[in-house]
Amino acid sequence: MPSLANEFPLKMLPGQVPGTFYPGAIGLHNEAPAACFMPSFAPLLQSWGAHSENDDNGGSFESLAAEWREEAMLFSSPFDKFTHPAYQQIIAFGPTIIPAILRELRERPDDWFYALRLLSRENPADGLEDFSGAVSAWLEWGYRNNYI
Amino acid sequence: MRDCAWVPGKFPNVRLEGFGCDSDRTDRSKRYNCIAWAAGDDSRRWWPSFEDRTWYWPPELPRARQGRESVDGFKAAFALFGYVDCESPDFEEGYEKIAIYTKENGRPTHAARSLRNRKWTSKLGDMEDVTHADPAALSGDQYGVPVFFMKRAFPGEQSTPQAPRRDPQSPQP
Repeated sequence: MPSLANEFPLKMLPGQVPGTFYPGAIGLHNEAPAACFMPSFAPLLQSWGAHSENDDNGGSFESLAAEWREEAMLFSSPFDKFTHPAYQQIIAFGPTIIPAILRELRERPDDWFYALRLLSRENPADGLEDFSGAVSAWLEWGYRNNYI
Repeated sequence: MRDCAWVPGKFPNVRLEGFGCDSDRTDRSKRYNCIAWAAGDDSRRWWPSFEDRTWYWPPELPRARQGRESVDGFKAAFALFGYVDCESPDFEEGYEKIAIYTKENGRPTHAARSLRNRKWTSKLGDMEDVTHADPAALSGDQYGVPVFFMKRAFPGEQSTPQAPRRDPQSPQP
């Protein structure tokens, strides 16, 4: 019989289920999901949480993050950064990947806020206009919630 | 060391003539992006992101949902600093120009700015800023093609509005 901990390994996300997209996670409360859903995310979110951090089929978080850094380094557009296949694959790991993202954010500050908002359904950096301040807010959130 | 040997691999239309690498690749290079650089601001990154305010955008202008940015929004930003539409990127004495790149879907991807020496300058994402012979040099898979051009008198030649810069004492990414 599955335990509650297995069903909801992250206590901060009791209502989150595989395949569900949460517009509120990225501040889109007032739009219908169909209107704010990035279409290219659809197949990946359907497999939300189906991979582990070191999935041999999809690549490890580290290899995907390195691939993203290498291939998205020329993008200025946040949309282009976040729809890169490696970034989407990382999101498809589901909320269990949050600690790895936070460690990466701590080691190499980069544009991980979108993935963290989507995966955690929270935004501790809401309203912050300073990149460093947003990094600090997310790391503080991670410490406070025992993710790192 | 400045090592831009990687650039032709990403931008096959770059020609050695007119190409130069103008900044080191450092952590500080993430501080600003191509739009900021085209606007003359190397203190922060610019993008009209509605969802993430860590990208600066002139407060007078609306922001856009990710993936719904329009060229008109970018043109409006440059218009704040005295730029007006022009026909081509061709050199005009006394004027600096900017080029806005888009891909097939019409979303802006990049901006470049002309220099007094007839070359152009671009900040390549998180990487170095470079000089290139013309806007077409960066055409390709990465940024699409330059499709809109604007111009203004070079700063100092007339009362040209300048882009606001962040306080240099502020923390940076």
